[in-house]
Amino acid sequence: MTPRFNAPSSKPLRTPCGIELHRVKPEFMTLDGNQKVALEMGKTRLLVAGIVFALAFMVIGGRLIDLAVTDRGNEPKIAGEATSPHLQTGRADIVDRNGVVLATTLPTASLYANPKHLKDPEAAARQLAEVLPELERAELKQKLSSSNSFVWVKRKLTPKQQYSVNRLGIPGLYFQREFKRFYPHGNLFPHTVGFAGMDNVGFSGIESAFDDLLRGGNQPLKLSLDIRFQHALAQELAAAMADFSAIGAAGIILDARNGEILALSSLPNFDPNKPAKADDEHRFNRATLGIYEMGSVFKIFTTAMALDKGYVTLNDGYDTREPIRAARFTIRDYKPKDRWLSIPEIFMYSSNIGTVHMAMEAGTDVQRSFLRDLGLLRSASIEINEVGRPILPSPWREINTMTISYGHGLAVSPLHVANAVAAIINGGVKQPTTLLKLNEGERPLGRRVISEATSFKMRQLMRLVVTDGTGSNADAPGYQIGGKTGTADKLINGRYARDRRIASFVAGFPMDDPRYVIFAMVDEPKGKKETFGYATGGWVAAPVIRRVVERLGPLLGMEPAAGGDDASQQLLLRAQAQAERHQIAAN
Amino acid sequence: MKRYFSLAWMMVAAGAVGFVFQMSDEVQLMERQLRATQDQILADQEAIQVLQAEWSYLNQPNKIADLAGRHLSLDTLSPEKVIAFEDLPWRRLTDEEMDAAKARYLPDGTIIPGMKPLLVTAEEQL
Repeated sequence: MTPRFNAPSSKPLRTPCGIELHRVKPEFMTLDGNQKVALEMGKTRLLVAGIVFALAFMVIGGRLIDLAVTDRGNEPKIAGEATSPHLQTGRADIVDRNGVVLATTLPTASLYANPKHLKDPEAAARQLAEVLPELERAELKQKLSSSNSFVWVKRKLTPKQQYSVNRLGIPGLYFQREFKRFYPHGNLFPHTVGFAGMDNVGFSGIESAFDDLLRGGNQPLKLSLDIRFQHALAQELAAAMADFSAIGAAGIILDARNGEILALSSLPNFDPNKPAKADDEHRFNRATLGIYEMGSVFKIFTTAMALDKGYVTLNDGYDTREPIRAARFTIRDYKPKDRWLSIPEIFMYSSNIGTVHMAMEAGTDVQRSFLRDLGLLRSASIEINEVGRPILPSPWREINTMTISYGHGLAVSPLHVANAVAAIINGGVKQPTTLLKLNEGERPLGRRVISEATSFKMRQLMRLVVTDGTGSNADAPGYQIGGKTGTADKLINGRYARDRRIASFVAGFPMDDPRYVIFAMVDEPKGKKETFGYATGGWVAAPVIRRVVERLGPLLGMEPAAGGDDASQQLLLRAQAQAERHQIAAN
Repeated sequence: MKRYFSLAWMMVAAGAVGFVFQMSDEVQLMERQLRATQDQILADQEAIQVLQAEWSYLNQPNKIADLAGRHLSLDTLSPEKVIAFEDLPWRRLTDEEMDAAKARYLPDGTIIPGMKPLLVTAEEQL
């Protein structure tokens, strides 16, 4: 490019494009207008772009500083702990009150086959039948030869079975991981814990009642049951059942203070790991679903009612020489004493006649409302679904009042009796029973049914039954057991069968401060030589109570204490003196 | 000067890139470790589940009672075997102790002055 004008200085400044700067602008500079406009425009564009970029970088820089330096509220101060995984078994464990596992879910392998991948179904069937002997070879062969691409061979193998199937190395056999419900204690808790089926659905007991909860959570469900209590009770009941060739037995241990069920046993029982092998007889829960006429055990309630409502005092009594005739019935005593009996004696010797007199003083309405307060007229309150409805007389006539006073004509479950007796001896408060563990010191809201004073009297009376009355076989020295025997003829086709009976015993211990209520019942015991042919509550069920308490006492750290019977013995002396005075007056 | 400046920036940038790559690599490694650890935890939890079931199974009261019956000479504690400390009888004195005791008492039973009485209370014995 050549300069068109002479420059005033020797070395004019030029732009890289060859345009001279600081040039004296001549008037005809306007001739270069186009060039200047282009230049100006270029400059402006450059400036704008520069500003835009600078802004963008400033924003990014600012953001970087913001991210790096400034504090953010939602940021953790330290690196957060990575959430640790949890084994999802699909069904929570069930444990006893001390954390012993009663039901758990274990991973297992289920064997399935894809017949399309099997080269030799015949050989595979033969080999499998050798390893899994419970499978039928012909049936297996048929399955493996089918045209499906999926057949179950056997579900939920044991690890050993899985290993031996794996060792066969047959292509076309596969394992599917599955979870299986397992009950480590087998037939110890079948009626309370219940069982869950193949697809982990609860079928009975707690497994059914808390099905949603168990399926939803991972936290083990803590029951009120205690495996040591359960074992002692189940074993002694089974021994008594075998001893007296009985058809069944049931027992309950209840915490008298808060209604927790510590043991609940029903015999015959079954193994919840193999529920299919159990028939209805074994699955039947006699302790909660079974409804029985309980016999003389009900005299506890009649006596408590008469004492609490003031119809009688411990100094009163009745002449028991004459049987009571009402309607077409004659009410007699099982072992008649044939004299005037004081109230403590009526209770101790289990006099039907005396008890009926007490009930008649109260009348039908009072009796019915008292039994209702004790919860004996409706289904028992417990979490499981297997609860029986009491069978009430309808209509409730005077003759029913009489027979119910000594435990005939009203059928309830063993749980009803245990719960009501707990209310009688724990100071007079009826509480709901529960299978779930309560917190330490927690007492569910109860309802007062009798006064503290009556409860105290009833404890003395129940202690007398064991020390001097029909329940002497239940006495475990040092543990202050008090209770009441019960023997009821079973109603077979509308008639009472003489030789088929329910022998029961309900007890509390220790009687000076009752902690536990134990109920034991044996269904259709047969008398034997050692018991002089007797198969009554006092001979069959009372020894069960004694042995259970003798086993539990040391476990509970209870110190066996002699004595403690002063109050009840005084009561007995007074009652006997009273009876003697009547005897003399009568002669 | 300008050239050095650019070079310095380029080195810083390369350093930053390298650092980021290394960091990312470390994070990936740690995530792999975390996954492995979590798998291990799950496997352990499963093992614990099985072992707890087995422990409970092995602790069946029947089994324990059977084992105790075979290997231990223990029986149910009966109430008469429990006795309070105060009810324990005093130990019978040996002949030497008897002589020593006699030396402390006069024939009429009074303690010889300057001698300690023989009988001490249970608390002092402990």
